[in-house]
Amino acid sequence: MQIRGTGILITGASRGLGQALANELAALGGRVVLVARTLDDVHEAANAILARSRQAFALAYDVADKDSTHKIAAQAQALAGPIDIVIHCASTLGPLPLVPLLQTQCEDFQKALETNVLGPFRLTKALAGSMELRKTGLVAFISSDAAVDAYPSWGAYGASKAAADHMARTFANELQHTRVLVIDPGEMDTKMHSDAMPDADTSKLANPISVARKITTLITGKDNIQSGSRLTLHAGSV
Amino acid sequence: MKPATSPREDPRADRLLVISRTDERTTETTIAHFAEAFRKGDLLVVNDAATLPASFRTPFGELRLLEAPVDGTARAVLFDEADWHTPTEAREAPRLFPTGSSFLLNRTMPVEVTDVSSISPRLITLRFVTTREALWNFIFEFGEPVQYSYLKARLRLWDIETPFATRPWAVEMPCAGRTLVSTVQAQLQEHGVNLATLTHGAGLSATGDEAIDQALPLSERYEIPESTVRAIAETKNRGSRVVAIGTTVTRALEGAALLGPLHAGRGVTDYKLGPASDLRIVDGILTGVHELGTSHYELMRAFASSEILDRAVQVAEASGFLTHEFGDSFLLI
Repeated sequence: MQIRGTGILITGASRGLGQALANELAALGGRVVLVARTLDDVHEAANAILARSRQAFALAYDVADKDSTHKIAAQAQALAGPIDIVIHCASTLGPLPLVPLLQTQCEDFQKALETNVLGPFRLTKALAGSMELRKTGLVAFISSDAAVDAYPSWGAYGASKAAADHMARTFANELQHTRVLVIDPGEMDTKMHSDAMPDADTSKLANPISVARKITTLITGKDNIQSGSRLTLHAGSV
Repeated sequence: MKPATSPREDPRADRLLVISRTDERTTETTIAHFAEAFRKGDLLVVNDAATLPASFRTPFGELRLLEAPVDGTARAVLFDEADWHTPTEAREAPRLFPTGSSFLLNRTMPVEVTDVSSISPRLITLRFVTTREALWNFIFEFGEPVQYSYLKARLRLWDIETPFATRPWAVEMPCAGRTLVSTVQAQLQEHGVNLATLTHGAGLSATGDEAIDQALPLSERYEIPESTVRAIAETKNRGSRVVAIGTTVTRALEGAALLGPLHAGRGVTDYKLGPASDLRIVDGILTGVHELGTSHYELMRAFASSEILDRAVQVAEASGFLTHEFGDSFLLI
């Protein structure tokens, strides 16, 4: 898959894996549209890319907001042209600190579903129809082992990620020309990780920059990974 | 005939009148059976432009962009201050802005009037004093979709985007494409019917200013991809048909064909099709239901005689077909 000159939309792009992917794909010549909630953060991330003479555009929106969907899709394509790659990194843990389900506020669970499932659903709906007709495209959903293993206190997040994985696989079965991949990036040294596990030993966590490089290699690689695949990255290997 | 007063959730239930271009045969069906109207090898071309919310506020009323801005410039039409329930024809003359004047759109975006059209002083050219990113953000944060007075409720962005909307070049929805949802596309594929895209900046359909309305459509830009040029050539070579999904596709393809053999790339057209038009590319058209005497009817006359069209309109009227953007459809083939 070609990156140079390709329109790429990344949510959750102001920090962590999203930002690392934006940097990596912009370095390869992609026309990257960064989406994140906070205006200053997303502009700062885009400006850092522009300072390296690469292409980046910043959109400050919350993917959980239904009315933002077409604002994101249309502005992204006004600025970067047709979007051929979408990477859903925007993610919320739900309750913080993490608590068992019986203690989880309903609204926190709802927030996890809105951000982690419905937001990516709506954005994919707004962007993949075009990809299908143009017979090209990739939609990647960033997942987690919490989508597979039912870790105590990870209920809202885990359930939402499991739902997103299943939705992604359904998309893969429905879409003919758009490749859909689910990627579990493994545990990374990011704010999301420290929010969830403040006492973790960060030396054991992967650097999001190297994870972003691995993901980029996978999606652009010669062995065209089949649509509907779920990839799990561990430190050092796939 | 009555207009459809709200967007319809499932376009498969929309009525469809298939009208033969050559004899007076019409067939009533629904969009659910759309694919059956075609033969294997036919090509449908859609307009993949997204629609931008083109209505803004001036200090004295409304302003509608005629087109998406390019290099910070766009033509626009001034309207008076009135509720969207007021039909366009009933809107009053707005207060005007002379060349060289500046004002704020939505009390936020500074614009300069760089030209006032000789067609009408309501038709102006604006220069936006800002960056490209800030301009597009302004459009989507402050713009409202162009509304239609016959609708029950305001249109939102979700209502005005086709299933494959891409770059926001249109100011009103290229609505014929609305019917091509996933299940309809799948049926077309099963029937061996191909799909291709082009992008065309659909402009305003009406302004209530007689001089501007007579001149519409004004120049509109389009872009035809290489893959679509190839698909059209292959379709023609095997004797299959090219069907335009909507008037905007028709104008783009026939407008491009006026300049010579079809080739990929960008262009601008103000081609007004009518009974004397010689169709060079398009063999059929899917379009909304329009009554006699509208400019859409004139475009349809490029495809069929007035006898055929009048009979079709009679059939549609008798069967209670709904008109306008969210209404039923005619397929002239």
